[in-house]
Amino acid sequence: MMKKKCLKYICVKIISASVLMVLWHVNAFAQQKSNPCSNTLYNANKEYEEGRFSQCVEMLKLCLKNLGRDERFEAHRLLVLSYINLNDDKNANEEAANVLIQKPDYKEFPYVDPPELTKILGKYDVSPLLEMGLKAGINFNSVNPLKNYSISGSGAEFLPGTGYQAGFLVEYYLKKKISVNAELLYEGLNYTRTAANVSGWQQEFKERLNYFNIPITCRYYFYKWKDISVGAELGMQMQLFNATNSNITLTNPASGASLQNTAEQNGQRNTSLFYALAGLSVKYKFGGGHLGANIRYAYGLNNVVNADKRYDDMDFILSNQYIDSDISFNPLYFSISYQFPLIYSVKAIKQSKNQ
Amino acid sequence: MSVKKIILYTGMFFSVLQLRAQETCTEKLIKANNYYEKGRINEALEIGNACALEARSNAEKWQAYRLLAISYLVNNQQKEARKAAEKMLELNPTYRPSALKDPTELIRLLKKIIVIPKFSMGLAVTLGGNYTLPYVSANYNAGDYNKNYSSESSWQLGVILGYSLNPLLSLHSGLMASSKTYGIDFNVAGWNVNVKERLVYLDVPLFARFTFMQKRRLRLFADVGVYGGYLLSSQSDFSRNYSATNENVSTRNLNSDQRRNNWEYGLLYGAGAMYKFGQLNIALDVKYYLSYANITNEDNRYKFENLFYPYYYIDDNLSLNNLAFSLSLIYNVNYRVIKEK
Repeated sequence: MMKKKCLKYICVKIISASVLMVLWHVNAFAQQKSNPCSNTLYNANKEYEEGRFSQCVEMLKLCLKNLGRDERFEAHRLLVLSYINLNDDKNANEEAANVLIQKPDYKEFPYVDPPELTKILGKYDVSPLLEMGLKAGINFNSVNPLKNYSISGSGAEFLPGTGYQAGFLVEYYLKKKISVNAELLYEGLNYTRTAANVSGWQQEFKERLNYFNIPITCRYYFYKWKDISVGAELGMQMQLFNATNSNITLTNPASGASLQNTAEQNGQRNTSLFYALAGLSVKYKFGGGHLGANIRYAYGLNNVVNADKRYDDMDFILSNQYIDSDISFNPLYFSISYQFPLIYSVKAIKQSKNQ
Repeated sequence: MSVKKIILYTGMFFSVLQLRAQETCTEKLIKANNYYEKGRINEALEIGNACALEARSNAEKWQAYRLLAISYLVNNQQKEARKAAEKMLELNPTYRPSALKDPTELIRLLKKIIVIPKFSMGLAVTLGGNYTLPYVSANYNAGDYNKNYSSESSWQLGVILGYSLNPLLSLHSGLMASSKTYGIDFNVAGWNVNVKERLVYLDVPLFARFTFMQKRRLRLFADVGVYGGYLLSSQSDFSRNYSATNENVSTRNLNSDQRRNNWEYGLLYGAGAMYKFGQLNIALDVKYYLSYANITNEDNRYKFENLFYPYYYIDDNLSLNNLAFSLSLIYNVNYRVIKEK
């Protein structure tokens, strides 16, 4: 009885395995039949080597869309070679551009190609169209006082503070030497306001503000030497307010007594600030991308303080004898970046009239 | 033969010689490639070797080394073929062999050569997977009560740079902004007091990474190292509730910089996995930051009456350990070819 059961079990297993194998073969056969492009590249290459260029073109054209990235490059290369042999300059030129679109570094690392192919490829220039990268650095924020406000009529001095910025950048090349640079940065801006005599006390107000910053600049690369290029930039930036935290210290010079307080003045700050930008950028080709250094000066165009809400926190104002003055920021940014190409541009090099 | 003719022929002969001398490597390599295809391997090798030395551009060098690699393979000079293939990959480390143009032997040889990233740059992000684990080394209380510390999750964001010394070992460092958040609650005189502390540090980790299964797309790694950090900001929320009358008192976003030491430091260790997509890698890892720094500024412990009287609060001596699960996107800036000795 036991033996019979075992035999039945083995039979069922063998039958199901056989059915599966048959199904797999049928599927594979069907796939091969339904995919006439499975050996296109190999067959087209054979046609090319045997001098049947039209057949090679026909085969490749039919299956180009079904090929993978590497195969598509090989296919376009074969197409150029075939069109060269068919004396079809127009299509050969078009396909040469496609070769470089598929493999932008092909001119740098080519196979040993016939001179005609090298000549056609030489008519095209490959350069990055869109680069993306990371950026980080420090800033020195100086304050431009617009209007002084004070409880006791005392004057004030603003001291610059050191902050930071970090984020993403994209650079889009309009031309080889002209690009538009856009960034999304998170940044901290700091400053200190001191007043020597506020009802007999020395007052020090320190503020740390955090913004999301979107600078957009137009950059012109005016100097290039080997792998180094230098560019000048002009643009605008918009800061979106995130948070602020302030610390105020009152010191009595006579008694040495000190009072400290903190405040969160999110409501008393404008939510968006605009700046005019000017800067210099140096880029050095490193690895697959560019290592960059950038210095940028931003000139604040509007008031950091929300004037309508200046008097909202009367408790803080009265207990610390402090009221916000109208100010704008002029930060100086120093950043380093690394960016790598995402998309390349393949353009025909303009031929001079003599050629 | 007249003297004129002799001069003419001699001139022509030298012109041809000069033209030959002016032949560029690109032209020579086309000739060498023809020799290779006709089986005249030694002639192909001669030109290939000359061009590898003379080549003016990377393109010519690359063509020369590729020709040398395939020619040496035909001659069964495995050692020389490998050297030429290594040079090929030094010039173009991301080269993907072509099934159409590259002989099977070359594809096999190229696959044997290990190419590792030399410099890498990664963006690491942890959102919600960064757990702060407070460790109290000395208690300080303003009454007869025990503080209960709770771990809270937060975020980490930063850039990590890497430099590979060999296939197994690489050194990494970078800048990480790390938020560390924890809570405290205690009961005193019928009041339930809650404290929430948020600190943001700029950390500089320095660690060694041991990578296993270097040839595979999916690789495992283990990290060990140290870190140091500077306090960027710290804020506290204090609240107390009297349950009998449901009376609430609270202070929000209190700047706590004066109560904190500026620096932190400690050990870090962790493990993870990395998956390669061309020049990009995606890594998932867990790291434990074991701090040896007391975050409390002991000189200022008793200076904050605004915390002592309304909330009966005094800072303990404590260090903040961290468990961070992070996702990183790593870009291989350039590569190193591991040469056979």
